[in-house]
Amino acid sequence: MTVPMSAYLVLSIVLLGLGMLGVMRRRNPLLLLLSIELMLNAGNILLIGFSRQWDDPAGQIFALVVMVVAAAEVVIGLGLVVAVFRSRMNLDVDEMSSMKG
Amino acid sequence: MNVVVGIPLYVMSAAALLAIVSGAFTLPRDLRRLPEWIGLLGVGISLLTLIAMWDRPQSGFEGEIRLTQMSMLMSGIILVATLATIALSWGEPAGAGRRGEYIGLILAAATGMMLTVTAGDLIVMFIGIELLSVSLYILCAIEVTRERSLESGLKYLMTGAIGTAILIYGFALLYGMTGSTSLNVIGERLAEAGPLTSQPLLVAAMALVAVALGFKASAVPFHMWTPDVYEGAPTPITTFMSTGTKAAAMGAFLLVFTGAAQGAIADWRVLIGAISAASMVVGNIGALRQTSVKRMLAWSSVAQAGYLLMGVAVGTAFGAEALVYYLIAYLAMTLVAFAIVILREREVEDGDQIEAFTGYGRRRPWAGVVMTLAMLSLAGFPPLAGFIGKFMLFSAAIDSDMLWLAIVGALASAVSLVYYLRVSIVMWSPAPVRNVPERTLRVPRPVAAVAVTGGVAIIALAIWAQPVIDLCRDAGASLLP
Repeated sequence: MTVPMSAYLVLSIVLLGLGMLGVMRRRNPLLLLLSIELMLNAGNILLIGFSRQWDDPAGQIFALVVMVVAAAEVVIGLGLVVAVFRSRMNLDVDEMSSMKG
Repeated sequence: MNVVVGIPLYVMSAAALLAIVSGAFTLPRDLRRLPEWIGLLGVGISLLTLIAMWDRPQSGFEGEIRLTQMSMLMSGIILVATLATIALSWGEPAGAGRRGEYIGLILAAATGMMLTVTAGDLIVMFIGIELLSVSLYILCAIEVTRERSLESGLKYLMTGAIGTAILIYGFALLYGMTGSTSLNVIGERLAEAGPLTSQPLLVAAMALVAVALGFKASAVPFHMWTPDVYEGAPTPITTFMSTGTKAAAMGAFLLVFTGAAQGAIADWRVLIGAISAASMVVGNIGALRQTSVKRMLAWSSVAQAGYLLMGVAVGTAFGAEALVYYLIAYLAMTLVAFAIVILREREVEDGDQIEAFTGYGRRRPWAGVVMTLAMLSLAGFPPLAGFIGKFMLFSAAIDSDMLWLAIVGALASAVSLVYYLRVSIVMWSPAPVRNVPERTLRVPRPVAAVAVTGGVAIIALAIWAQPVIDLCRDAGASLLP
């Protein structure tokens, strides 16, 4: 049994929506990073689905590249979160407002 | 497989690695500027190879890297911005103790920007955009002990990562609808497909890519990060973001929309036009109420992204030509403005506030003159370079029946006169009696050189506009088949 393209599309849209919801609702930077990861993987699923549909490996290569990039982003994100935590022992993006306007 | 095509990129990445490695050693005092010199040398060699290859546009790696006149001119703009950033970082406290990483990351970001504008494939373009973003996240937060720098880096990362996710989703849809990641093939398939309005997924793909690239160019609706990140980041890095990143994002816009999606122009021109108009309005109104010059320049950079996008919205070779000319003028004006802010910041506490500039033109007349030039040119005062650029953009819009966009642009520039002129007037007004401790600073020569060269360029680009416009015309023509 082959999975139809529409299934990939629906799953990826659901994941993207969940990720966006998380980005809007969550205030903890760690959970923000988690939600962003969901959004990135929504794109990956779409890439791999289309790659099967077209029988073309470029989509899978793209998905691998995205994974590497996502890892790099998360590493820097976590590093910054640790640095912020050290400097003020508090993790809430709404309280990060020394600059306004 | 043509490996020559990547030489400008190899040189830059080698310089980036060398600079980072040189930072791992404790250098003797005579060699403490080694990372800077490696950077300047790398940028210089890369620029020379581009000049040598100017008459021989070519592509390599099976079309994944394309050196057209457009990508070469864009790379040149990025390299000049990098050169200026390294010069502006001379003696910058932010990089103290980690010059190697600081310069190395600037070079890595520059490599990413060049990769973005030379890309012939969505995957390569994505890698370029990410290389520049990830390097800049770290550079914004490089002063780990200063709270604002950290906050700026974290904010940039969070919003930037959302932008990345949207960009991937847009690229994935574009790939799914056309079956290829190569920009050339995408162009052919889109031209065959005819009007896209019958295919909602393609319209969604275009909208997502436009919004995500707009994020990097700090265009509306993803501009909210700009003021905070620009204010918190070390000022040379802010300069780099507002010149280099903007050039890279505009290059990507031109490659994807004016270049590849030319066949579907009717479907995206209104979308890009709307982003452009909204950026001009929001940016100029936001800049009006700022008291910090850095924040004002951040909002003004949102507005400038709007003017530049006008050249994408029209979708013609003339539009691209106007965009590139304005980008060159914008580079000169922005470098001058930030160079003067950098000087002032090192002299007084809160040196980025507008009051801190009161009477500064009388104390340092040369700084006052170049800053006034930059402000007038940013506002589009004739006959300076900024005016010629805006004039070209507006006429490109009128030529392509987008009169409404030109009108919005003209009204928005009229509003921008208020805040640009305020800075130039404050510079020359009599200095008030103030009890603020001032350090008398010996102006670092590279910073002064950037400011003066930029000021001269603002006038030179207006007087000898024709040769530059000819270069831009070649670049614009190379974009379309």
